[in-house]
Amino acid sequence: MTLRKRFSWTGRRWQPSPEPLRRWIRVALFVGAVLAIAPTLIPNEAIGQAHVDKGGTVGIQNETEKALFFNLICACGCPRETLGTCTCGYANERRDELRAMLGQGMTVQGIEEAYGKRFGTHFLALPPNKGASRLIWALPLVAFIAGAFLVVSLLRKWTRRGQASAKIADAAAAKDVGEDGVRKRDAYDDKLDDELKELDRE
Amino acid sequence: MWQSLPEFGTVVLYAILAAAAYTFAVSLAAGAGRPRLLSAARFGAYGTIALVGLAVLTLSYAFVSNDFRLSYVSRYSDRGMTTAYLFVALWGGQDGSWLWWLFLTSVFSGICVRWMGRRYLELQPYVIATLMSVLAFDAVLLIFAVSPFAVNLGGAPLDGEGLNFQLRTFYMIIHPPSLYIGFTSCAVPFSFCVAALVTGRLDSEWINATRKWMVFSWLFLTIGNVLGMMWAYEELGWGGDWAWDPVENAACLPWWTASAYVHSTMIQERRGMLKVWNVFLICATFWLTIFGTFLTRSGLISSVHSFAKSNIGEYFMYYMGFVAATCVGLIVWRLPRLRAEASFDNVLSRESAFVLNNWALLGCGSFIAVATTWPLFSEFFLNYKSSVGPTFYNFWLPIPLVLLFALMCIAPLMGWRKTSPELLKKSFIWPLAAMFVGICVHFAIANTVRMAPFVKSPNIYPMPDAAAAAAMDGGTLFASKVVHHIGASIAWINGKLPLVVSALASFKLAVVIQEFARGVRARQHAARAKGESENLLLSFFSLVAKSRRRYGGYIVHIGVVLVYIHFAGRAWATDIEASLPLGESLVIDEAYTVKYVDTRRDNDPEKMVIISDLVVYERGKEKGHLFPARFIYKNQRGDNSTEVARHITLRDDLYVTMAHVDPKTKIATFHFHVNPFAVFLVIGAGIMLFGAFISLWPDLQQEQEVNAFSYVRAAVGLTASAMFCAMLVFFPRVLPAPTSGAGPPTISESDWAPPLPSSE
Repeated sequence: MTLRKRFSWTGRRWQPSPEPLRRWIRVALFVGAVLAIAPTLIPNEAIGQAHVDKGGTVGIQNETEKALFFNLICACGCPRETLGTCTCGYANERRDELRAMLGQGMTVQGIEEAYGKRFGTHFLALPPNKGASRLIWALPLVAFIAGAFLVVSLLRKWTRRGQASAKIADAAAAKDVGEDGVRKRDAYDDKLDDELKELDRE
Repeated sequence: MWQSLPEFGTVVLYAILAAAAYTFAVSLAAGAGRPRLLSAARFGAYGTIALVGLAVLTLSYAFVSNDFRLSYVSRYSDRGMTTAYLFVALWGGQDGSWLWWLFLTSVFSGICVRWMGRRYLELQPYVIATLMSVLAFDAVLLIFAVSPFAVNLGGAPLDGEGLNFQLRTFYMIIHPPSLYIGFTSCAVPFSFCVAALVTGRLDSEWINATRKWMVFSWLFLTIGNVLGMMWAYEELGWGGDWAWDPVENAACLPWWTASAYVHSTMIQERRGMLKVWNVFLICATFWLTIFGTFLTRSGLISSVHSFAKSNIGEYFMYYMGFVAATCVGLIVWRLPRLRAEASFDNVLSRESAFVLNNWALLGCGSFIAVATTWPLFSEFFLNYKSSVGPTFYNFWLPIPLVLLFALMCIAPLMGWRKTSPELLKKSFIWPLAAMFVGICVHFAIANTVRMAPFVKSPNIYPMPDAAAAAAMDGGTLFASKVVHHIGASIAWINGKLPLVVSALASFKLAVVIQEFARGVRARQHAARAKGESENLLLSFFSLVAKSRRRYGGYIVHIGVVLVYIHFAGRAWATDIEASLPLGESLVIDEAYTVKYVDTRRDNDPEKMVIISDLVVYERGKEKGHLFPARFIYKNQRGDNSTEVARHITLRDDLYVTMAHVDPKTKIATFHFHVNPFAVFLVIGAGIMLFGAFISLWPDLQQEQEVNAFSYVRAAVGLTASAMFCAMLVFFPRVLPAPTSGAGPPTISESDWAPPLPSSE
């Protein structure tokens, strides 16, 4: 059976029947499975190897050094690497200097400030805890909390509106009940309303 | 013609712009009351797409024919590169990747135009017009800012510079295309959204159409981001996969809004509510794809991934402004028609849970967006240059992320419209029990599995020291102390999050199992009521087949749970740097012992290889050899690279890089990282892919579904599955121990080359 016989071409659109389509999907699944399995049959010795373009060591010796080095960005030119991870020779020199400063009794904050003054504030990995720099966390935090209040108040408002609508609907339903206690509207009316509503949506 | 290939390519770019502009105009005319022009618009779209294909073919031809007259070709290829990498070079640099971007956008435009067929006739003109405007913008950039057909002013060099060796990896073959697919396909839902706003047809028609496209975009954004993480893990060598780099952040921003939309659209479909919000989310997702591209390509924020600094930022600024203004204008104009058709019945409902989920998703996304753009904001408004490192994100974001996780756990337990107290109790009892068991188990086995329930988390805002305090005025000192205390609270909570994540993971898994079990039971009851019998397996498959979207979503959630466990694993990670003489062993994280056996050297035509041999023992039992290495390339730039070696188990990934070897003493320095649950990222992403695949699979019983999306979905599902399976196959694993005679020969000390060049 040819492809053209299985599918009817009307106007510009294919109109496949579900049965042949199911067959095509099975074929497609089979092809997909073959595609997925095929690479496993090809030997690949390079597996497990990947490139890193630098060697060298970091040599963090204690928690204080760790806290300090991860807060300072290496000024060697490699973008955004902290002294906690950068292994270039320049970073090694900086770490040795910083160790010496720690040995002289300088505090971590003092060293960070000195580093910022020497290389520029954009070599500090953490915006300082002062002035407008606090906006970096204050803005999203305030937005997050304000968002929570907004969401809760909106939910309450929508729920109140929903309950009010329900009350109105109940009152309307009560009006539909005749003096004999039999409801004027029946299931047919409700269904008709629903269908008209659906039609409006389409 | 090929004698003037650069000119030909440039002419094709101009032709793309002209064709897109023509189609845009014709589409608008068709929408403005001349419906006969719709056919012309469709043909115009196909013509534009064909021209884009021609441009890509032209550049490909330039690569395979080593046409180094083109600056782009000479910068990203050389005569020694294989055809596969010449193909990768198409998107290896700024100019070519933008052409690739245009190509993918045009492919999706073509699929969309073909798919619309005779449906959405009122929306079609504006959908096509919007798509063409996107293509036109891309073409303008290519012509005026980043032309891949620009020539070398000094003439063609004899050989090219070649593709950076960091880009010559499997992940670079599939990571950018999948991320670009996610980015560019967002143009289709955005076009539908604009068309619906312009025409005022804001009913369920466009939302049904866009949901399918958005799930598709979401799927590829997920795959692209995960592949990017795996690339970073393999390539950047610091032992982690997410460093909160600006480019990584920019790539994930549209994912948050797309995820929010995939959930909130259900409310609009079911209840006709949140119309404004859904329109906003689609516009925001598209806008964020442009914004992410702007951050990556303008070079305004330094990153390990970004392209070279260029002047395309200005174009993007104008375009982002234009898109934002158009979206806001259209939404405001159509606000009266975007009113909700219904209202909430109860706060305890799935609608509320989804709204809260959207709030958390957008909250996390906003936090990342603000921190990513902070350096620009700070420099522009505060006149203060700053950077934001991973420490900041790792301190502030875990709490909102875990909050989001908690909301994800709870939402499926809520009923639509209203959740009665009885249902609430019934739904929560088993997951809560599972959570309790999970907590107990975690405490019980914490020492055995080396995973403490609570960890120490540092406060990044220390109390001002004496010198700093003396320099501050009273108000500043008080503010600093307040921030310190806020930081201490956050650090305290962060320290408890490993247990919270394991508890929530137990809860969530129980929720998913419960949902499946309930569904199966309901099917079996129904079958019994009909007097038929149905076995469990059949009920299970029928359940998923009947309600693919719902159960596909649950499967996606299982994948998300695994990804959360993967991230929580960093809390128990071990990072060690050690120098070892030959024959010495090192114990890592109690479980592993690594013995340094040898270092050897080898040569091939491309590079010199220095390779170390380490034997890995896990709890005293030999598990195999690891071969961390350094490659020193014989190319013009003298690139050198360090090769990662990994021993992967379900629980851990022992990740080793060789930092340095003394050629005389053979004392080698290694970086060892033990990353718990590293492999859960791949497994989780695979499960997410599988779940999304189930959700996207067409419903053969519905004729409309068959006609509309079956082929596209099947193709997409297969492509995604094949890509991911290929990735799993190629996923690095530990090399087998060499057999005798195999592997590089051991060399004597006198054979050593001069000291290894420094990496600087």
